[in-house]
Amino acid sequence: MDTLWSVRRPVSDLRPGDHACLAYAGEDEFQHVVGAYVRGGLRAREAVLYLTGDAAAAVPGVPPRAAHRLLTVIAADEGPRARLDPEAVRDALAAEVARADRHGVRAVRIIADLTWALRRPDGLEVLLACEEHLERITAPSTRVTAICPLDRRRCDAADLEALRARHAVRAAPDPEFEDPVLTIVRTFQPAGLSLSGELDASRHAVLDQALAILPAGRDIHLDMAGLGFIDLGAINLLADVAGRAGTGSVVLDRMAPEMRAVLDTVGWARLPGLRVGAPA
Amino acid sequence: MIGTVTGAFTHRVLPYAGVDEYLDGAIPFVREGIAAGDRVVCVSTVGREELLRDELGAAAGEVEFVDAAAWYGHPSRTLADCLSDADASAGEGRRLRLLGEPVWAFRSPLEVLEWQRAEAILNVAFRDTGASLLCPYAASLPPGVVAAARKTHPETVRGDRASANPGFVDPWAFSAQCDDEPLPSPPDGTFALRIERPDLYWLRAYVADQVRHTALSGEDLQRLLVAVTEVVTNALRHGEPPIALRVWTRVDAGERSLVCEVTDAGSWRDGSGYGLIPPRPDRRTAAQGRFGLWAVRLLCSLVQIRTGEAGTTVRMWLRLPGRDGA
Repeated sequence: MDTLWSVRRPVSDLRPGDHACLAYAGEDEFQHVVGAYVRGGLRAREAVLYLTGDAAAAVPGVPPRAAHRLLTVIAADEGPRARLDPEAVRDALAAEVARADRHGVRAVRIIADLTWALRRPDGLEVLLACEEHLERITAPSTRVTAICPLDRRRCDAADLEALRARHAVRAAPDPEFEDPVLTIVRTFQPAGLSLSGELDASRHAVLDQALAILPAGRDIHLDMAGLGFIDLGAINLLADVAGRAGTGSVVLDRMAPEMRAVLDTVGWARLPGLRVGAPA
Repeated sequence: MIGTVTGAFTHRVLPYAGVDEYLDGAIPFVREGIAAGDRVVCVSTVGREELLRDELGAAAGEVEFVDAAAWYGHPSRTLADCLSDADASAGEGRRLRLLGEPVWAFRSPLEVLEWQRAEAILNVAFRDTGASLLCPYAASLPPGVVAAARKTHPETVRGDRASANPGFVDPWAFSAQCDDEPLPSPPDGTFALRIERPDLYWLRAYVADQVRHTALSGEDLQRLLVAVTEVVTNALRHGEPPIALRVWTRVDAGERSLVCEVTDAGSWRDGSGYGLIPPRPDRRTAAQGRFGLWAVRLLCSLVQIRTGEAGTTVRMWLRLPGRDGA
């Protein structure tokens, strides 16, 4: 759940001093969000420090095994018997940040992918100590940003709550589309798009584009909670998408009651392939 | 004889003066259907239902009775619901046989016109369904209503005999006649909002602001916004500038309505359909263009369309709750 003091921010909008977490449950979400963060950093010529358990791990957002002058992978845990050492993590990060300084790199992005360590004895305590150091490095800084991916499959509820409480910011996927009228953001649990604002014929093309990036062969969930208006053409478009070969249903979740009333009135909700899902 | 069940679509008027003439026409029609294994539906008032049940005896158990006031709720919706009933029955290999007495009391002249148009248009919409529809019209109805029924039903029934109706008018021609009269002008001083940009969120904000002082419910506001957006989108795509929007309220015999009008300088081609024919789920091909007008009709209480050399006007009505501003 959102805590009162946590801010939700698209990864590309993270700013220096932000120590963010990303609780994810699938590889596609991890790749999508962390990949955008890594790519964005390298494109802006910032240093990217990827803290992981496995030095051979692929870094999201860059081609496998691609060497990059600004990308450093820090293996925090060498070998199966060694343990994650918060002080070593702190020293390694501090050294890399100092090195970036010396080379005149204006900003540093840290990715701390550490939830694998929860399986070790005292895993949570060790991880929380690492978070403490990350907070000290990041929060007062005008140049360092950090994101901690939290793999829900490796955390129990108490772990997740304890870890989230250490992050004032929650990283969110970058919008697939955003303007003053409409925002489209990819969702992963369930897979689909979250729509907010208003959708009419002037933005059918961007909806179609956003739908095209979704994995094929599965139901597409559209979170309509933030959508104040949808026109008949867009509903028609969704029915067409649902009718395409190899696509599952298009499920409309959390529609406002007024919008549901419109669908009921025109009978679109009965179209094959189009389903009304979770209530508002 | 009605008795020859050919499976062809029939739409007959049963003019009657008094209960005996009503039953003389209705009972053979219903019994035919039961004997043929049709799905038999009787849409009537409670009083008529009792009459029919008495006359049918045990056979009444084979008949679905539906309350007329609920059935005849909205011309386009009634047409669509009935059509999907006919399709569903046909899917089971059964013919839909419907005895339906339309409701005319308490209808405004504009509503009467739309129900008459629906009687005409269903001849087109039901053509391939094999359904059999019999519509009783009481002689006590206003003469214009009975006269129109002879134009909208290809055949007339007397007792158990059906004969061709010489006064029958081609449905599209009848529909065009319904629109012969020019629309009255909007009230003096009604502001005309010019629409030039394809981005319509500001237009919806304007409409929502205009209706703020009315008692329009949130759901009806959403219906109106969807309908207006659809009509304006059509005008932007297929019409000619200038496109303008006008909104006003109107009181008619105590009924309050919100009227929303979209005008443009273009004119529609013949055969536009005017959104009068319900789309069929299995034949949903014409997804674009004026197909959305069908939905616009469902969303509004009433839609008036005039198109010609002088341009096109689409007037959407939504009934407001309460009477006389109450």
